[in-house]
Amino acid sequence: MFKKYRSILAILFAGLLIGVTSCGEGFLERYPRESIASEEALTTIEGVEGALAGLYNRFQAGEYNHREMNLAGELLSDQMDIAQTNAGRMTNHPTNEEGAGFGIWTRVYNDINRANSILYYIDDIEDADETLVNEFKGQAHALRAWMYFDLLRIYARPYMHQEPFVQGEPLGVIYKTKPFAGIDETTFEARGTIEEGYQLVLDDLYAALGYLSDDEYPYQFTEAAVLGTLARVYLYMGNWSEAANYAEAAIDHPSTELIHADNFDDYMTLFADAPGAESILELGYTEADRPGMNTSVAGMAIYCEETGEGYGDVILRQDLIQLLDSYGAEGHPAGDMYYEAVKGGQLCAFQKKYHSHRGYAYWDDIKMMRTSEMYFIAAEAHAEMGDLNQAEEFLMTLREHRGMEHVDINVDSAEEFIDVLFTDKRVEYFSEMSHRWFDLRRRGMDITKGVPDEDAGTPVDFDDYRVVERIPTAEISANENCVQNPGY
Amino acid sequence: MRKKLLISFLLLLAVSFTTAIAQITVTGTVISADDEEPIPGVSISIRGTTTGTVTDVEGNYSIEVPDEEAILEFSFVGKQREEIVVGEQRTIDVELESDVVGLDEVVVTGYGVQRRRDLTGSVSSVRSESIEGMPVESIQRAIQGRAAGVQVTAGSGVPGGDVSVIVRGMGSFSANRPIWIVDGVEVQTGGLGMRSESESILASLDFEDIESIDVLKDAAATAIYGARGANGVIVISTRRGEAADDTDFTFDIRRGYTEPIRTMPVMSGPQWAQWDYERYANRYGADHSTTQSRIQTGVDRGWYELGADGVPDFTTSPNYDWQDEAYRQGNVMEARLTARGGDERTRFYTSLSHNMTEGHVIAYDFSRSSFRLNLDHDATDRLSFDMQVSANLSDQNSTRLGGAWSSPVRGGGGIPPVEPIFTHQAEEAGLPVGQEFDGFYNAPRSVFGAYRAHILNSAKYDHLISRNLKTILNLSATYDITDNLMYRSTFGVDYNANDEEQWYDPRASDGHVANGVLRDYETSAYAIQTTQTLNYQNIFADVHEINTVVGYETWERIWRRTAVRGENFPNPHMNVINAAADAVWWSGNETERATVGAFGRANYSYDDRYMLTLTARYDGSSRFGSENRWGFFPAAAIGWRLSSEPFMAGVDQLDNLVVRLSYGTAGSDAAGTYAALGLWSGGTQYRGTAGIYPTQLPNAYLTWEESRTLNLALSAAGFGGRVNLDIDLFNRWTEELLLARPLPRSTGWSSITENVGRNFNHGFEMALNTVNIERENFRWSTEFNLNFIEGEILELLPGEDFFSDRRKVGQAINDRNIPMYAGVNPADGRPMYYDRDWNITYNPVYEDRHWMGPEQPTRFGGITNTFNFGNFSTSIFFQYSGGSYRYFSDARFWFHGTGDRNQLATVFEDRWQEAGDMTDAPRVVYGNVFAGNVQSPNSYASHMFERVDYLRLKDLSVSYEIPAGITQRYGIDNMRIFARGSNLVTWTDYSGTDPEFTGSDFGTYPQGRTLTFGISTNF
Repeated sequence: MFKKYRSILAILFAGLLIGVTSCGEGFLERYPRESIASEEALTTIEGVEGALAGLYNRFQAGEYNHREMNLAGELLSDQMDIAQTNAGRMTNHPTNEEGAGFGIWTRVYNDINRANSILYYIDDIEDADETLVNEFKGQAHALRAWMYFDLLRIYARPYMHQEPFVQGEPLGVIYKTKPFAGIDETTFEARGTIEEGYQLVLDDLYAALGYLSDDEYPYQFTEAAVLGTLARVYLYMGNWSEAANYAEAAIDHPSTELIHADNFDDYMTLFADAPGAESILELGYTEADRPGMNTSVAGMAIYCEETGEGYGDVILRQDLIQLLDSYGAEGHPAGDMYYEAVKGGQLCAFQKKYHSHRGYAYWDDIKMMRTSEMYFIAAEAHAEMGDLNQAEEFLMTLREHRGMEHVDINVDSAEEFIDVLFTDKRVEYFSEMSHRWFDLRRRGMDITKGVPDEDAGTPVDFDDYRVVERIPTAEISANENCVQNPGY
Repeated sequence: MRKKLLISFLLLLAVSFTTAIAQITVTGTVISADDEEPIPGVSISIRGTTTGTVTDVEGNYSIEVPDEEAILEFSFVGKQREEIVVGEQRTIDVELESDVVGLDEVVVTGYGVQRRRDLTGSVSSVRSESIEGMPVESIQRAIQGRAAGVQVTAGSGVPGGDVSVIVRGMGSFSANRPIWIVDGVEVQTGGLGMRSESESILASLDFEDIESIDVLKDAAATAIYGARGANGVIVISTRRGEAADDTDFTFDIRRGYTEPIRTMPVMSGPQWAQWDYERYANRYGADHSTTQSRIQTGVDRGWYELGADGVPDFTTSPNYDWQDEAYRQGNVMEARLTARGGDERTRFYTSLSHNMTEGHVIAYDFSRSSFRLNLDHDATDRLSFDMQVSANLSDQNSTRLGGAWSSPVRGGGGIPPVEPIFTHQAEEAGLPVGQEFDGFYNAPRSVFGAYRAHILNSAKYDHLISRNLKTILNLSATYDITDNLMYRSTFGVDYNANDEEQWYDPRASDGHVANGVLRDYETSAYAIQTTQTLNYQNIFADVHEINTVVGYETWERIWRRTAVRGENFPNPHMNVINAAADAVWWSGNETERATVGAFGRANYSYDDRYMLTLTARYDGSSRFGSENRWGFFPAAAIGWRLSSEPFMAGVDQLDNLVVRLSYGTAGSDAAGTYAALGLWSGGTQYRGTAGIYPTQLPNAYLTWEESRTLNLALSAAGFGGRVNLDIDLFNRWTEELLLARPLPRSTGWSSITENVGRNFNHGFEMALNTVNIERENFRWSTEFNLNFIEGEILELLPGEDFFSDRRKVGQAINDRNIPMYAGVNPADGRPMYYDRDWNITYNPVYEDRHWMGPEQPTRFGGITNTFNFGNFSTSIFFQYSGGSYRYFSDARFWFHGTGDRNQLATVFEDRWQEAGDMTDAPRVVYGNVFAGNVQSPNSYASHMFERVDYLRLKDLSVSYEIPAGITQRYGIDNMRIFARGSNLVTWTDYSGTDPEFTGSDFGTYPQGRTLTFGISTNF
């Protein structure tokens, strides 16, 4: 009998025990294991290093610096086109349909918020190694400058040609230099001026220059990369003397190099080597985060019948093919940088610069800035300053390194010179970083569409509203202080 | 010595205590009024107490009652309850009448049971008999159309696939699934897998082990589940053992055949060839070089031969039926063995079953093995244990799925029917053969772009295996502290493991580039629940009856997943991760959540006339910020039994008439697991440096979604128990709805989750069960349920009536704001649209959109007629649903698609051809280029929506019971043979494959029409 009650007692106790042990305060305290609370994330120098790695990972994402920045402008301008048989991506770009563009607003502001977080928290870290703190601050400033510069050259009117334009005030973008505060921050900022924006970019670049060492590692911002970026920014601002100064400083920097590439194999080292032979700034993947078919240049712009690799949707326009052929005939290795194949009954030309060079399908590292760009900048700036001899010297040096030392530049004016320079640049930079689109835009030039064809799209005047990209409606509808660009 | 004395004293005390409360012994026999046979397993309890016993195999019982005022209650499934006052009797024999409509059925209400007639809350029940032998894999599919207020829609026909169950309509933007309680333990539902198109862990439960299904609907019923009850609660009890001399065995075997209800009505080869030619000719002109080069492609590819005039002759076009290759006759095979028995102290039910389903789409199959053991043991008069153990293993095999072009359903419909399927066909047609595997012919990539896929090739070499293990372990102890007070402690574990393997073979299109791709996912989720309850019931002064329960419950769940992807395999037969040259991707994570709750419920009834229920639960959840972690959920209900009032005494036909009113709240912690926390996450890197990135903004104010329900109901039963009617009217407000408030993107964030929205649903439910004819050898009964439901969003973000194209104040949840298609201009074949004022436009802008909805049906239900005549019985079940608008998402590809894919036959057959043609299908033009039109007919617009109404003959069964005289010669107690057909006929205007699918039709596996034969034996 007693035994019986003992078992009952045991059950009662067991029940109570379960109840008591599980009602402790800690029972409802559950935290994720893949995440860390935001107030703790950036309180150590390792945390900041991680945040910076996370930021670079996004910086090189397909939707930003891989597929989008390389191809969108090529399609919007007169360089590239979409094949007739295609998978439906970027099909509105060649005809400059409203809404076709880079579409990086959301992504870039997310990344800017990270850079802001790093800069906001880094000074509060106790007992941190000064060298690392400076290094990371330099990186964050340089990244933020690059991203604001991208926003400005896509979503705002060109610095040098703010007027005349369809209508409305010339506006910059929204400038945020502190991390978003969260649920209690309910009023949002308006767009600042273009001038303010370029000043912010310059301030960040100069700050970065003060922090960064003269490292030779091109997979992140170095002193040379910041010098190069300054040259590019001043070029867009039409500040020719500073543009020339910084371009020359980048050329003279011990970590940069211009190689003799007068044949296909040598020229290919610019694109296939890791890092590329002339890379001042490059973004590099590992096996773990290499890009996929939908978000890489190669996925969009190569076509391989045997392996089934690549959509083969982005193709070269006839104009560009003719240009490459004529330069190729003169010895420029870019003449060999494309190949032809029949796709859906159409003879198409595909680029070779991004062609799964790193050994996996669609894996190519991104050449963000190559030394030759500095020669173009220096040449253009000197021409604009009236020193044609100096300008021709830079351009000829570049031609000498591309097997075109025998092709002279015979021009009488800066204007003519810049025409030649722009043609050289089209050949050197096709399918890279949308240089063509941004160059036409910053100089206030109309966008022709090459050989007239039914599907090629009609030319776009430089002051057409579509030259300034639409700000996403998600911004406009949630931020009553943000004004849409005119025309949309 | 002292110790011994003490023990003796305690023993004495204990003995006197027990004897003091049981003074009278009553014995007797219970028999069935129908056949005068004794009934074993009848439960006998003393009214107002928790004390009780059951009859033995001869129908005999013996029970000790405290005094002569005690009332004995006799109840048994399918019999009317009997109440007898003990008085001076010491032997009470009872005859139980058949209960045709279930008035005295016991309803499991969560932490307790109630008789249906005493319910104050709103509960729909499904009887196990009505779903026995249904040829479906899951419980959700089995209850479709059978329970009032419960709307079941399959997302696809995939065997073992997930099924959406919604109780009383969608009330939340985030989560609308009810919770499922099996034998007191909350079990996990939905899918665990990562890659499967559709998979449900509930499908691994053998639903034929189920004794009863009760769906708790209003707040009076669900508030006891507090923070989990807002979307309804489905309470399942499994079968239990019964005392018997001989163990009772059943053996069922079934065999079935399935075929798709319908395949996609696409163009034939000649139609496609002509369509393709016309779209080029209409775009460029017949003589244009582009058209001519297309014709040349057509001739080269064998799509047609040229006629004398140089125009393609479509009568020469081939017709290769790819869909025919994608489907096959499916098979279902099921065998079950059960045993139940035991003695008075220990009873058991055990079952073993195996189901093998070979899908009607190639390469799809499903199998399940289930085991269950339910044990009950009475340790003493007061202490008993019960245990449920079930282990279920299911395998779902398939190939490429859904939207992939190599998926049989998508590709079968989409590959142009002029392209040969097999190499021999290509050879016969004189086509160059270069790309083929094993006799499967692939069209060259230069014709069809990147989509080089062969469904048979993929079906042969690619696979996706999803294996589920579901075990539910549940141990309870019940102790009667006194005759009125009972303590019960339950410990339950629900463990689910899913193991998925997806293989893209290098010999098929999707694995070709990477030389084989293997994805492995291991996911597990286990939940531990502990429940302690105290139950008190008593009757005071004969008229005040109370029944209360208080309890405390903890629940925690840990979910884990590890995944890896490998590529580049040396040999397609070496397809495990170890053989991969490159492990290219991996992932692994664990999340935890926990809830704690204290609850109580009191039922009070006065003189069996006035009933009152008060319920409350206080719940805490780990999901919410410390500021708002706890929630309180009260509910109250009153009931008035008019039929017990003296003024109704004259109405003899009425057995029961009750009106009920309830009001209360329940909650839903539908937010993400760590939704309140601000987070930076890992899993990213740059050149080998591990990275972190911000993933979530903190919101310490985040809290429960809450639903308030007002329910007015009437229950009536009469005509000797032959008619039973339940009518419910309800209003349900869901509040504090979780909504992601959009943030300007310049903040670096897209949204923050807040509790802001409000929604209102109201509806009418009716369930009517009748026995229409009852004769000696013939019985006809009907079960009918009818539901009307409407919903409306009341509030979104503060000050705004619009949130997105799926959310607007005044519209139902998931309505759509879309461009309205207006058909085709008869003059020139251009597609037309309506503008905001319903005038014709060719270029609708955003402001021209109109709202279309609802997505969910506004009326649904089912009707079952059962006829028994002699040894034959037949049952006919119709299910219907109507009022919803479905997005036919494949229309983007199959309605004037711009690629080289096959299209719906109507695109060709109904196309506009010449001025004056009145049709909805525009002129065919390559690339959909219509001068002056921006909107293309294959862009998202209202013509991709269809109103869906359907009536379906869901189930028709005929069975014959072989006369006992014959079977008993072979030692078989009874044997039944049956045939049944499922999804036999569907009446609908819907043009997709199946009007039942929710959401979309994107390459969805169609449901099957099934014919099953079976034998059920009992020995």
